[in-house]
Amino acid sequence: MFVPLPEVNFDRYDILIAGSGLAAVSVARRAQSRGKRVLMIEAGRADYDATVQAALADIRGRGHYDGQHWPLHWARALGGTSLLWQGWVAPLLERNLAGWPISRAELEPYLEMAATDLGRPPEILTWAAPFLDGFEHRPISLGTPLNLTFDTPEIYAQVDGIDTVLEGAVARLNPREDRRGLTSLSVATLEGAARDVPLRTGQSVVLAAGGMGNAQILLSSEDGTGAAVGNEHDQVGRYLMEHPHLYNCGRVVLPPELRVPAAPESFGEHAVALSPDDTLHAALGGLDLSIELLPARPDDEDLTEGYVLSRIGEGAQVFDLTVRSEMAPDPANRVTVTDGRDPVGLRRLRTSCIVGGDAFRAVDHALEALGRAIAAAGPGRLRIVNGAIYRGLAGGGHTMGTTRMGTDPVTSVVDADCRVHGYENLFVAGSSVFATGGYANPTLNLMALAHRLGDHLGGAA
Amino acid sequence: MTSPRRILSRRDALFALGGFAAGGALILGGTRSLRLARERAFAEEQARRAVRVVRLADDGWLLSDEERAALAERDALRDSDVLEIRDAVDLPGGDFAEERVTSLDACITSCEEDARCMAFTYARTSHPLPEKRQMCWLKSAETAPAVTDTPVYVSGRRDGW
Repeated sequence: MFVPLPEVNFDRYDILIAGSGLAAVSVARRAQSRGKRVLMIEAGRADYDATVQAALADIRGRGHYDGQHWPLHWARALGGTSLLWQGWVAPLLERNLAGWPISRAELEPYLEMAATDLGRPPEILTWAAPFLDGFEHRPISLGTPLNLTFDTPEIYAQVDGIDTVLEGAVARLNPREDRRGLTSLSVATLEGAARDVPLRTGQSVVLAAGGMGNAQILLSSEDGTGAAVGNEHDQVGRYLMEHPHLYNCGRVVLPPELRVPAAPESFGEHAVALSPDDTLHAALGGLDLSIELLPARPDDEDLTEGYVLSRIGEGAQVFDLTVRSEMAPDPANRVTVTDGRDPVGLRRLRTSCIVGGDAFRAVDHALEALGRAIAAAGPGRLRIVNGAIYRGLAGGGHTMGTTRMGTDPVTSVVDADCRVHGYENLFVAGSSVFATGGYANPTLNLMALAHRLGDHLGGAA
Repeated sequence: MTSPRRILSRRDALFALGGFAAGGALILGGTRSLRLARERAFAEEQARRAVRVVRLADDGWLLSDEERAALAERDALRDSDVLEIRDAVDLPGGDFAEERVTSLDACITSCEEDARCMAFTYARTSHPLPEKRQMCWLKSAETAPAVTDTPVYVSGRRDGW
């Protein structure tokens, strides 16, 4: 149920979660099912409010993704960024976890839980079919997005053991002197009134405030006497990633007999998309991507396409290609704090995020490989729309990597249990822990990691 | 008041400079027009040589050199032993067969190999209507009068025009 901030008895909860989106809810429900009492602390209001949004998501940015981009994908209201989610679901593949301290097998049961939460069948986690030399059909699951609101009954209001407080922001974490844990945290209102919340033994804090918010809370937890909490090795905010989206960056004409193998009925609604097989994936430098095939009409203005069509004759299939790709984690791509604070006292953010040449090159090479494979299979041909790749770069609204998971505190922020290195009672949930991004839409995967964290917190203590 | 030591007035000096400038411009202008004439002749010669070279921008389609060449040659004219071919001419009517072909060459061959074919018309890939592009109409002798100055068509006749 909802509890007004002045009435909250923080002491009675085992887990305090900053945020109320899909990561927060996944941790909360899993831990609650294991007997824990959980409080979600949401900075925003019950309903989306443009004034609150503008005040609490104020970012200065440079690079391919700028200060206008990130706030559009960071909702400051109950339900968090789930309010903006479009419902695309794809799992991270085994090969996408190569740089992570956990494997796909460890994540599997949690991916199943997350898929169930989102109303998607288990087939979406595993189904793939080879298509042409070097590629696989890996559909992306579509469907009604789970947008959490005040009225999502089974989540906020009716679960015994899960409470939510609104208009209270986790604005600062106070570390123990030995930096092995937190002693207290500060919860502030939009009017700037802060309340210090001492942490008792056995209480845990989970940051689930979004890819920007998690880094912001850590980087704001600094009193001038040392590094900000979790930032002892200057890693918080680094490895900022998006999924480079290249809309209509290619076109293919296929003969009637060359059909992408159909996904089973049970897979449900989906986008038809090709991914490189493991061999091609390695050849692309370990960067992943997904090439969506969108049925299109013949382009009468394109005489070369007319030539390709004329060689195929009746039944030719025409598609536009949209690529969702991966950018390598780069410590120089980062969110930092700059002068100024928002109304709850969190530091203003500044980003620098530049997609590297390797990412563009991987897209180009993959499209060339697909073009070769199509040509080898018959009269079909592929066109690369160069300008759409190099001048049309967009994002998916996927904020990843700012509190990266790894075994080494020198190059990461959280460990395999999503625990901030060194801090016994501080954890992170959300796509900010992603060590690499693959091409997969983050929602399902961040929910799986959150379920896993909920299990961990439920079993530990 | 003028200084007695000044030999040339300021005005004299300006006239002198102006004269030099005008003379120089005439000389330069003469050389320039000669050079331009040479350049124009060279460009015309180049244009004459290049007239049959089809240049295609890199439009991103991944095609082999052979396919590029075939694409460039689709509308290329060729001579025929049995047909007299005229560019930019449409022959309406008299159709007994129509087919979509991959080149003008294929259309000419179709007509050459069909004894009934007394004439043909081919619609170039530049035809504004997509459904007409690369259509090949095989015709009897009973066609309407030829329509000239229609660059999107090529036609031929077996028994002369």
